[in-house]
Amino acid sequence: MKTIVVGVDGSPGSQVAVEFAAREAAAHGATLRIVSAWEVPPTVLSSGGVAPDIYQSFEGEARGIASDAAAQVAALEPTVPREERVVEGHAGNALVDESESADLVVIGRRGHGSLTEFLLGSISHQVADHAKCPVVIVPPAPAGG
Amino acid sequence: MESIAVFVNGSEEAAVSLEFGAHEAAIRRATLRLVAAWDVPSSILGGGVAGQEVYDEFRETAEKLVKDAVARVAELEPSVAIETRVVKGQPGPVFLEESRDAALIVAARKRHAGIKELVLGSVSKHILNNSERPVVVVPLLPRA
Repeated sequence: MKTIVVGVDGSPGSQVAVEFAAREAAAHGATLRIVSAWEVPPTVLSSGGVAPDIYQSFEGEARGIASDAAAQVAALEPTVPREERVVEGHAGNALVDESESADLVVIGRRGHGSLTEFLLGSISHQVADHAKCPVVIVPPAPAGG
Repeated sequence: MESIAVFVNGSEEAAVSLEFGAHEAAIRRATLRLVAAWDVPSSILGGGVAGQEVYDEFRETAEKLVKDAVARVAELEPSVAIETRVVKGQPGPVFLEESRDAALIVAARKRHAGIKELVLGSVSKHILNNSERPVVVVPLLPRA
């Protein structure tokens, strides 16, 4: 395996995914590509009177999420080569695209949604269904101490 | 030692899972756990009970599939430690139960007649919807 992609969105679930991906990259001697996708939600755009820097704001947030994930990888597995990719677009589509040039894609079971614990999020569902390479779906950390 | 769980049922997608699982177990120095489920179909029971030999036949079919899978793993990755579980019950629930403590569960997408895209079979769906362990979904075809 040469390249492992991990999709991140800043949620606790994606932090668990980053840890799994870092360990996997270390075991396989692979590069870890951190992918943070962003888009301005249609509801925001259609509300009218949108400030011109709204795009920079969402992009900036996505960059911050990617660099936080990179810091997490650096702390866990400092010898794993890592790259950050910030992509404008729907996260599911972005990760399916990334799967064309990756040997493994890792994502959390669900992101920020408040769905019930066992429900597979729509992004992870889409990626599991359409990716061109194997996809690991990582459950959230167990609740409680 | 951690385990990587793979379901064995003689299907094309199970063969893909097996291969992925074997290589992953080798890299992670984990045990590969082969799980098979068996039962006597209700159409045969016909509302009654079957003789012991009927149960034996279905169980032995599952055991043979697992034996073949063990041989295949030995070909692919001879260093991998293997454990096998052949359990009576429905495939989804059996695989879920037997993979409860696995470090990774391997599932594969399969071909479905009339659909171009690969789909998740019922066992894979059951695992994805119910398991608390990491699950890897492997596509059937290599990238062109």
